[in-house]
Order: sequence, then C-alpha cells, then structure tokens
Amino acid sequence: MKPRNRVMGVTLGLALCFTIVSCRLIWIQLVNQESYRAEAIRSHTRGEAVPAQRGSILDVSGRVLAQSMPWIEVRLDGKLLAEEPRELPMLASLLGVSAEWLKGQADPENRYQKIAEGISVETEAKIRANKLRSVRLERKTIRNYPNGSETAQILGYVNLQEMNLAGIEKPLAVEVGEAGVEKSMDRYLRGVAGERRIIHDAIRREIPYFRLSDRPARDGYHVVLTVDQGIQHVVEREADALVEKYQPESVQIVVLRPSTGEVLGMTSRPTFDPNQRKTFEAGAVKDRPIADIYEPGSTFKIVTVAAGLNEGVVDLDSTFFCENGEMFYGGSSLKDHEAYGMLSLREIVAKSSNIGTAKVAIQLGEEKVYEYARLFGFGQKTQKGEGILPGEEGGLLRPTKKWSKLSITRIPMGYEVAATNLQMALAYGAIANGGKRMEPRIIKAVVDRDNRVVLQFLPKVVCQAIKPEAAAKMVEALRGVVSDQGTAEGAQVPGYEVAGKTGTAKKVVQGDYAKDKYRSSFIGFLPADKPEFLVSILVDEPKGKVYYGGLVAGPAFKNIATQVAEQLHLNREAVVARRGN
Amino acid sequence: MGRNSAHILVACVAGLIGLGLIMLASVGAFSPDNRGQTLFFLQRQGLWLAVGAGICVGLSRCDAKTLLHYAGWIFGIATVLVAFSLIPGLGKSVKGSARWIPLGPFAVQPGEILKLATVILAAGWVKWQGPRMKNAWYGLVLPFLILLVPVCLLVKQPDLGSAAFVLAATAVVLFVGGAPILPLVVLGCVGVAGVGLVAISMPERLDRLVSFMNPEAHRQGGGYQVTQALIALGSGGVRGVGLGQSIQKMFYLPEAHTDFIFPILGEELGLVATLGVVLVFLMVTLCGGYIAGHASDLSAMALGMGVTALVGMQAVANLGVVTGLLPPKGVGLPFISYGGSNLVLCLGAVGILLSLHREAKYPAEARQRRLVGGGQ
Repeated sequence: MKPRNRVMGVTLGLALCFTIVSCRLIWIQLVNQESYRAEAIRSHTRGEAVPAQRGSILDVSGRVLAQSMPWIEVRLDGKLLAEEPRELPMLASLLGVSAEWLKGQADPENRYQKIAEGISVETEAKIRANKLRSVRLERKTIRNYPNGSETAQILGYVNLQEMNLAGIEKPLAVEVGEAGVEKSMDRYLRGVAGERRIIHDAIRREIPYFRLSDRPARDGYHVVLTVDQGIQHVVEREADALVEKYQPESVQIVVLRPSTGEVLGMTSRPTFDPNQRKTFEAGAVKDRPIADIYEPGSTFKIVTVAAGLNEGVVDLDSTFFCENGEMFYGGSSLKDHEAYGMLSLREIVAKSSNIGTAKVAIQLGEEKVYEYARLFGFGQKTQKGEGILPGEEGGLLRPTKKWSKLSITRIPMGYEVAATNLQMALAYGAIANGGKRMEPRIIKAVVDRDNRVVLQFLPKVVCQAIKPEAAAKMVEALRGVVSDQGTAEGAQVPGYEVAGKTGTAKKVVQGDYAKDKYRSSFIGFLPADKPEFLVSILVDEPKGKVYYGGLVAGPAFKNIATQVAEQLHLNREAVVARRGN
Repeated sequence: MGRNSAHILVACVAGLIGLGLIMLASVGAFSPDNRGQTLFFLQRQGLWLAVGAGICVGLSRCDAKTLLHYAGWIFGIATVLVAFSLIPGLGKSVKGSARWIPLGPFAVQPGEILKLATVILAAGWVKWQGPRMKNAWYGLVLPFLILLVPVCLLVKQPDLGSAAFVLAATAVVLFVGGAPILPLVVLGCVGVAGVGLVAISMPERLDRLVSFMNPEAHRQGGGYQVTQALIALGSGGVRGVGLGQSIQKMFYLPEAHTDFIFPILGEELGLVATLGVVLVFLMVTLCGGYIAGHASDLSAMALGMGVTALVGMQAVANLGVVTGLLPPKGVGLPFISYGGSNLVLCLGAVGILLSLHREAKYPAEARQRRLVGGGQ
C-alpha cells in the first residue's frame, strides 16, 4: 500500500467517525428532541405556592377582632456563629438581648436553634440588611386575636394545615378555620394561594431571569360582624362579674337588635383565649348561646300568653283564678311560687303564675300552643344559608301527638321543651319587633382588601309570629314584670321603660327535677315602646341562696342595659318626655 | 484544494477557537471553578491562546527535518516532565490525578506535550529506520517498547485518556510510515485487551464503562454527566435556546467549561451549530490529511498524519463521549474546551502542518509559492 493511500485511509477513517457523530447529533437534537426537552422541563422547573394572607374579622365599626400577622422566627446556627464570632454582638444588639445571654444560648452542635420569635418586621429587615451568616429567619404567619378571650366563641380559631396543591411539591401551610366565624366564613377569609412556576439550577435555587409564570395570591376577604366591640366588652365584663358572684356552671348572654336580628354581643362562660392554642378545653370553645339547649322555664310563658292575645281568646285584663297556689290537673299538682287568687293576664305575666299560664293554654288547646311555639321559632334552627355560626342546635319541641296529658300544663311554663338562648332572644325579639320574627345575623358583610363589599347579609323577616296589636299588648304585659309589682324589679334601668321576663327553671339531675339546682334567666328589651336592643341572660346553677331569675339575672340586665344604652347613644330625655305625655 | 488547504485549515481553526472563547464566556459564570470571576476562563484561555499562537508560528517556521532531528530530545524532555508531575513536591494533583506541573499562577499538563512529542519521535523513528519499517520488529514492536516508559507514567497519574492517545497516534504514524498491517492489527487487539484489563483492575474505570452502557440506571453516578449532556443537546433542538440561555450549565452539567462544553453549545445554539462544528473538524482533518498526503517525504507524511490524527481523534473521542457513543474518558474538545496545555498542543499540531505545507509538493503546481505562517 502506498503511503499516500495509507494517509487517505486514516483520514477517511476519521471522516467516518465524524459522520457517525453527525448522525448521532441529528438523532438527539432533531428526532428525539421533544423527549429530551420534556426531561429538561421536568428537572428544571418547579411550582411554588405563594401564600395568601387570611382576611381579618372586624367588628361592626371596623375594629379588628382577628387578624393574620407575619411571625418571624430567628434560628441560630451555632456552628457558623462559632466560626464568625464578630456577628455575636451585632446580633445581640439587633435582637435587644445581651451578648452574654446570646453566647450562653449558642450551641455549636445545634445549627437550627430558635433564639427569638415574633420579632418586628423592622428588626427582620435590619437583620437581613446586615447579612448575618449565622442567622436564619423564617417567616411564618400567626392568627392574632387582639382582644384575647373576648368574642372568642363567636370568632372560633384556626389550625395550620399542610395543603398539597396540584403541581407543587412542597405543601403549603394554610390557616384553616376550625370553629366559629373562622370556620363558617373560611372560604372567604382564606383567599386563594398564588403560584409561581420557576426554573431552578441544580442546587434548586431559582434563576429569576427564567421565571415562567407568576400568578399572585388573592388575599382573603375581611369579614365584618354585626357585633360591636364596645357592647361585647360590656357583656364580657358582666359575664365575669356573674361568674365571680355566683360560681355558676355556665353563663350565657346575648345582646341583639330586635328590629334586624343582628347580634350586637354574645358570650358565655367558661371561655378560652384563641391566642393560647394549648390551653383550649372542649367545653370552653363551645358557643353556648347557640349550641346549648335547656328547659327555658318561665321565660317561655310568652308563647302561650302571646298566642292567647293573638287569637283573641284572652285580653290583658281577662282574669283567671289561680287556685290559691296549687292546681290539680291530669292527676298531678301544679304549683305557683306564691298563692294567688284572682289575677288578670297582666298580673299572671308580671308575677309569673304557672297556674294562670296553664289555664290560658288549656283554653287555647294543644294545637294552638304548638303552632305558636313553632311560629316563635322553637324546635328548629334559627339560622339558614350562608353567614351563620356553626354548631347551632335546634332545640326540642315535640309534636302534639307525642304530648302527655300533663304537657299542656308543663310546656307553657317552659318545661318539656328545650331551646337555645338565641332562640329565646329571637322569640322576645319578635314581640319587641311588632310580631315580626327575624333571622339572626352575626355577619354583616364580606369586604375585599379595598373595602368594597363582596357579600352583604341583610336583615330577613322569617314570619309574622303575631299581629302587631297583640305584640304591643304583650310588651305592655312584659313591662309589668319590670316594676315593683313584678318579678324583676331589679332589672329597671333609670331613664328607660324596660319590658322583660324572668325565668327560674329547675334543673334535671339524673332524670328528675333537682330541688336546689336552678337556671336563672332574664330576657328584656328597651325602650319598651320602641325597642333598640334586647338582652338575654342565663345563669346556670347560681351557687348560694339567691337563685330567682329576677334577682340573679335582673341586676345583670340592668348593668348591661345601662351601658349598652350609652354605647348606642339612646336619647334618655326623649324617652322620659314621651312618658310624660 | 492545493495551496488553499492551509488557508482553509487556518480559517477553520480560527473559527473553532473563536467559538470556543464565546462558549467559555457563556459558561464561565456558572462553574464552581471560576474563582468568583465570570470571565476567568476566558482570560486564562486568552493567555494560553497567545502562547499557543506563538508556538504555532514558531513550528510553522521550523523545517520538519530540524524537528525530526531533535525528536529524541523532545521526547526525552517530555517524558521527564511527565515523571516530574508525579513527584509530590513538584507536581500538582487535582481531583485525584497528578497531571499538572504548576508554573506560577498557571499549570502545565506535560501529558499534552508528550502526545505531540510522541508523534514527533515516531515520525523521527520512521526517518531513521527507512526501509526497515516494513519489519514488524523495527517498525512496530521496538517503538512501542520505547513508548512503554511514558505510557506507564501516564497510567500512573492516572491519565488513561492521554495514554490511549499516545498509543493510537503512534500507531497512525507507524502505519503511515510503512509498518506491516497484520502485526499492527494484532498489536491493536492486544492493546484493546490491555485497556480492558486495566479498566477491570480499576473499579472506578469499570463503573464508567458499565454506566456508559446504561446511563439511566446510573443517573446519580457515572452516567449522570452523560444523561445531563444528552438533555442539554436534546433540549437545544435544531435552533437552540439562544446564546447564553442554557439552563443545563447552571450546575446540572459538571465540567461544562472543559470536557462537556459541546452539549452546552448544542443547547444554546442547536443542531445547526453542533453539525457546523463537526463539519469544521472534518475540514480540519481533511486539510491535515491533504497536507500530509502531499508532504515532501515519508517521515513528513507520517508526522503530518500523526498530528492530524492527534487532533481529529481527540475531537472524535470528545464528541463520542458527550453524545453517549463512548464511555466518559476526560478528553477535552480541541480548540474549544477550556484547557491551556491542550490548546497549545493543538496549535502546535497546526504549526507543524503549516510547516509541512511549506515544503509540500501539490499537484498541478508549476511553481512553489511560500505561504506566510499561519500565526501572522
């Protein structure tokens, strides 16, 4: 073989190799490019969730009751601090602690030690600006309730839940409402998390230049309650006073506006502090005014009396013989707490005569009593649709065919039925509101971050329970209760005419009515001729000698009503002047 | 091609070097070895380019006869330098390989010098032996025995890639110089078997070989680089993602500035550029072969083909590795990959080809014209 041919052979061999490489390149970059591109996208991109800030819960005038705030934790890398001791004094001064303390805290073995939390955003910015290597700042979010345990049962609380979103590998910690308004309005409060699709390098750092998409989060809406923080404060203080004075099992107070059904304040004892997640007890979280049912006792008498007035079978001045304190009916005896002879209907209400009420009921008949109990909202949940408080109970009201012979004398005085405090308050609200029963409202509106109304909850009439004339007569009867002739003299509020009714119900213990365990209650509203607000108070098992509703709950009503009237700027003089006419 | 072969050669090499510098600027910011300077590789490569260009011009001015005259010396010095790099005090070790001799801020790879020196020695051998080259003993066995010394040193470093190139380039030179074909084939088979034995004796090498056969199963191990190289090439497609827009260079593809610069080129500039580069290498090889084929005598022919093969085989090896055709070896892409010693070696090879070109006898050439050296 000639040398030149050998040269040619080697050259052609190399040329062949280059041809093979070329074919391979065409195979990779042309024929199979899509699968490699898919592989590249799979390994280069990732989705990141952009958390949405949970909306606040505000009172009727925009004061914050619950809000989400950034919560910054400072983690110290003890190993890096040991390598860079000059960072120690700087960090100490930024955190406002002594360098000695910090030095004592630093553990070279622990690279992720929490040394501070809840620092201000300004401090966070300073630490970041100083680029301290030994410190890691973690930004979380915390639900803050500025008023502590006030309004706690209405607001509820949140839990942090890890949520897996589609296309995002790292779960997102989301505040999820677990009770109260936090739960019922969760879908509005929560907002919608945004999403970033990013390209990252091999050590998973984002390459900002290549950001693929950036959908910002939609922060949660604010929820405005009908509750007034000032009134709520009054209510809370009175609940505490009642607890201190009577050591009861529980206390419930509801304040609402009869004309709209709006709850202005509502609380119960025991309660809890939603800021202290660890101290929760199941019983304390319960929103008792809507979730606890009980035999209401004498406060329930309005159903029968109002029914009688509405049906025209009785009038305020109709008289009944009250059997001198003991009536036998259906083989059992029914007693009054005092022996009464002839009483007008007005007096029956004022003195809370069981016998008188039973006689009205007997005159009406079972069906009518049942029908009016339903019209006043008993035996059914009061809230419907959206914007309600979770956990409401409907109470117990048996249909007449399940009534016993005795029921017609027991149900009118509030036994053999069970209701929530809110149901009672709304029934009285109907009387105060010219016979129109309202749906309760706890949420006024949902507004977005620019204060535009997203959703509004307007007052809603459920039914006309009784005619306005009957309601007016009923109010007049209830005014008699809060007089020196009635059971609730202590509930009088200087400057206003008050209408209301006491209740003192025996508690059932182990299937029988206990002798010394009572539920004391008072429900009243003012001004009686044009009611602005209504207060319903229930004290469960007051300890001590005093247990009558008029004596336990009556004064509490006075305290609350006096302050609430001030808060609502009711015109005292005008009321007085009208009385003079 | 005639006289133009040298022009084409110089143009091709200049194009490759220019493209290489652009790619180094592109990947330079993302290498963990860049000492915090975005253009570190570009600057270093620029300095080496100046050195290499000087050597290229120098060799092109030098007669092949003179070069072959000192072949023994050149080879001897190169072997000693390789030995130096193994001495702990003198040499520098990077990633477990003692391949470098530090010179101030720079480091020289004597293995690269040895590659060229071996080709020169083999060509010199062809000249001394003359007709005896047809004898298997003088034409093949004896020169390979001489080569055993530096090859063993290279294996010791370890730098199996360079060792393989030294042997392969020598084989090409001897083949062109008239060595008998059959014994050469036998010797080649023995060599391949030897490489296999060495590979099996070194578990790390074996892993590389095995992972090459099944890159998916060795994603995190030896197959990782190749997998990433293929992703880079494939995601570039026909037109590429755009210069400087590679994502694979963001630490996905290790050694993106040296051995694996070609996939980044493919990712950023696409099939158009990768085929272009392969075509240019083909042109370089063809020009080298053409010049060698028309060299003045047999030894010059062998020398020309030897240096051409040295450059061409490195290109083939690198391209084969990054496209997943060959097991990873640690071979840079001539003229383009970062690496000063290799750039100088390749430019030296070009210088030798230009020198041969001056004395070459091209057909249909009435009068010899003198080509001014490629470096000017």
